[in-house]
Amino acid sequence: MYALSVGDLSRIVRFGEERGAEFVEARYQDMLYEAIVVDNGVIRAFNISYTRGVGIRVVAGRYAGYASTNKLDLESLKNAVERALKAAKSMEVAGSTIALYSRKTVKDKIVSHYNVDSIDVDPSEKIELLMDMYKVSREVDGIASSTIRYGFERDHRIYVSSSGDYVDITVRLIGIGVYLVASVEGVMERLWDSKSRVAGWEFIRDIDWISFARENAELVVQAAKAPVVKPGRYTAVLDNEIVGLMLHEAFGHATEGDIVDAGGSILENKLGEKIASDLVTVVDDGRVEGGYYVPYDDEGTPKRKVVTVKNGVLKSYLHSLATAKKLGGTPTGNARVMDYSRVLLVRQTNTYMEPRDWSLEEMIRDTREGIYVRGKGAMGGQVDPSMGTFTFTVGPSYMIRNGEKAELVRGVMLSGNILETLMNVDAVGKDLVVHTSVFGGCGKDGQRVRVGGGGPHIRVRDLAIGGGSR
Amino acid sequence: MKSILLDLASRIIDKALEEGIEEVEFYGRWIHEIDAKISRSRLEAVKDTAKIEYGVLGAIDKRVGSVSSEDVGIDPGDLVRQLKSIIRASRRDENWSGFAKGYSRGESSPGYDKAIAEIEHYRVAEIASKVVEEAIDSAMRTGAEEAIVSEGRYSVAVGGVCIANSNGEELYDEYTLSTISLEVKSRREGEESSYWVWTGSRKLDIDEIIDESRRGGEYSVKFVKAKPVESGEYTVLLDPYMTALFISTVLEPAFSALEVQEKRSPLTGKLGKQVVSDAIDIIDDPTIEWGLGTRAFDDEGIATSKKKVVERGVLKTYLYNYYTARRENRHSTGNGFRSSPGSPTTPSSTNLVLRGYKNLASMEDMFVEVKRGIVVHGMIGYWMSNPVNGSTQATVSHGLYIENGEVKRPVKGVVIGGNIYEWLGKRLVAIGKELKKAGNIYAPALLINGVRVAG
Repeated sequence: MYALSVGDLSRIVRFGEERGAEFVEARYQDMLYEAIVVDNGVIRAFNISYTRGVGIRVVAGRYAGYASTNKLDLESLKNAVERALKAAKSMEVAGSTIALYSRKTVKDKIVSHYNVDSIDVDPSEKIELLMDMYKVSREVDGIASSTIRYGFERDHRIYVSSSGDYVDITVRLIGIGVYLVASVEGVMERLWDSKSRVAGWEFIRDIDWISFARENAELVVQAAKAPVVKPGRYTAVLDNEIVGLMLHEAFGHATEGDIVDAGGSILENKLGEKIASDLVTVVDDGRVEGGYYVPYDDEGTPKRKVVTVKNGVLKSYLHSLATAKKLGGTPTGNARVMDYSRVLLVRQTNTYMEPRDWSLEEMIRDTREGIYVRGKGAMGGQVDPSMGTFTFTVGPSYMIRNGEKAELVRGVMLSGNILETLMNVDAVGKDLVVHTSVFGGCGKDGQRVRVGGGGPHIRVRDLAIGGGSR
Repeated sequence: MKSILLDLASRIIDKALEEGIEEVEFYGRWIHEIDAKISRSRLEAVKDTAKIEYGVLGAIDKRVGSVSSEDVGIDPGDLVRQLKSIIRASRRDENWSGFAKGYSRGESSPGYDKAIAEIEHYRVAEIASKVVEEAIDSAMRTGAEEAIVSEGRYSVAVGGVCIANSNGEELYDEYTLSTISLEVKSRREGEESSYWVWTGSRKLDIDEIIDESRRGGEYSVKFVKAKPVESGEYTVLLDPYMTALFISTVLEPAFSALEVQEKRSPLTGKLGKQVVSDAIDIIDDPTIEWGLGTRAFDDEGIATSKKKVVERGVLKTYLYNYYTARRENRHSTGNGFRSSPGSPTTPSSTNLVLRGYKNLASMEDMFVEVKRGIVVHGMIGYWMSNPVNGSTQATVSHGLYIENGEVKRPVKGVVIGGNIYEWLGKRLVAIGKELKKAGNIYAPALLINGVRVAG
């Protein structure tokens, strides 16, 4: 497949400058996604897809215009630059002007670590593994349906700008997930669980996927037999995965500089204020073990580890070059796009809470009555960052009674207010775990990007829990 | 664009057959979109996107695989070689019965608006700023002391779809799209509140766009000072947009014949049986003028048609694509749609309409009926409801607490939960007279008894 050269991108950037733009950037992307879906023993999909194109942003007359194309001949690329200029020009109607933070020029080329490129692995080996996982899950009594998914992504991006930047990054992300439906005595329950890693095929070889499939099948059957949680307010011990999900949804979005700038964040004008319990320190880090790998963002800015909350005090927002300039911060490397054709948004990378000193056992022993909220099988969450309201659905969880883990419950949905919830954190564990996923990511303004998240186990007082019915 | 796609389809299909792939299907589409992004009541950027993408599915001896790409200059030989290696590695699907035969168009309804296809960048920017003006004006008139459109966008697009396969079938069509989304944030008496609206049409309907912008402005003020209510059982009045959100998340997936065949639908084995109240009809209607789901054929070339999925509460049919239809030795209902160009189709609705037959009332009449209840105008997390068992849950972000038919105060931060089949069945008290459009769903307000609320 024809790959665009850096020289071509530089020529396009120069062309934009010649046509009068004050600033021009070109983002080339060449992405491969391999997906296999085994649906009740049938290969429902085996697809390799290629995404490839160039996105242009110009700043002309201090207005931003974007255009993109996936026809990569010089003529089409020049046409894209012209369209971006036209788009910028149309902003004269009622547009905001843009100013970009001026940072040091960057030149770098990075390939994320892997041993075996998954695309070179014999497809039969992949299918055999998924089929074995399907079989073992169906052997569990009560399983009505079993879908096994494999995903592998190789995302290659080149960034070139009129400031002289050149950043070339390739990231490989791989994983397997199971979607299981149990039917027990007329009660149906579902569970989705997956494991992913920035790695190659070696990640798949190193995990016991058969046990993974069996254990999940057993869990969903148990869940189908379990009662629905009684709605009310609980003391909740949250596991690593839920902490990551909650921080990302309930808190992280409100730290995104573009949302703050738009007036859509509950954290606007709160820098330096105490917004969480003293025990809470929150980080956005593009290079943490287990998370998605973001060494540079899509504006070529190095991604640095940002402490957004330190011991309960709001320290920083997340920034692009534009929001850093506008809100008086420094660029944090959080300007990201889903693909070449999109506009830059401020996005999280890997959001997690720093660990402290409690063990899980101590936390449960110290809780007389409550719920141990589990992430396995969680469906995700949503937040209204301007109001601070959040909600998410978690996996099958356990009641805590008299300091001990008790019966399994299902249909657990958490909801609350961001700031109240973070203020109510009264114990933070020592076991930091961070995850990412090749099957999902974070959605914002129609763009999905890969993210990661996690933390230690934590305990939150007075959390609202709702429950679904059968 | 049409000729590029048709030419690509024929070159790839010919090459694939020549290389020994027994059956081939091509699905390609192009789109040209202009999009104005709004931030804090101003345009932040305007974007112009041009894209072509396509998928090629192939089968040899009931083994199926696919490749998708955005490269129109591709050497068909390279693509076919990759496709062949995927198919070879795949396994036989005994239910496979080939790609669709009998391409045709169903009843045609308007879905292409020249005004959108020929729109200029500056006009898109103008509409976006008009939207901001109307939303803020409406918020101020409703009592806001200060209002902004924190985020939003106005987008227009024109595109085309080309479907062809090795049975000699071929279809091409073009469509247009206009969508608006915005979040209005207001301040009154020292407190803030916001509201999010979204609407789309295949036509440039300025009146509809302005109406939605105004609703966004009005609703951004109505819920200032909202707080939770106590846990318990309440009567809940879902506004039509909220009904639509639950239908699309919990109910619509259950009509898919694939989900039924694979035992992931609670409607398995319920054909001909009462599944919701006998006051309800549910219709799959691809003929609604300018509807987002309006189309003459589905993503595998089968003619679409208007049909009752539920009639007087009785389940009349599932929704079929070619594959699931052949498994039951029947005809596709023209409901095969793809999530991406290279993916196989799965059954889903075109436009889905839920309509009441009896117990009809206006929103105002339903209000009066409520002794102790919540009217829901906004919620988050509804999409985590469970289509496998019909379990519905969401956190109310914008609600009104009602006592004896009177609005007492705004409500937020409570979880409502139940089961969609009970809500549309034994717990259903009344159905709204008026339908509203939310995406491809057309729904009325619903008055429901005994809804669990966790405060």
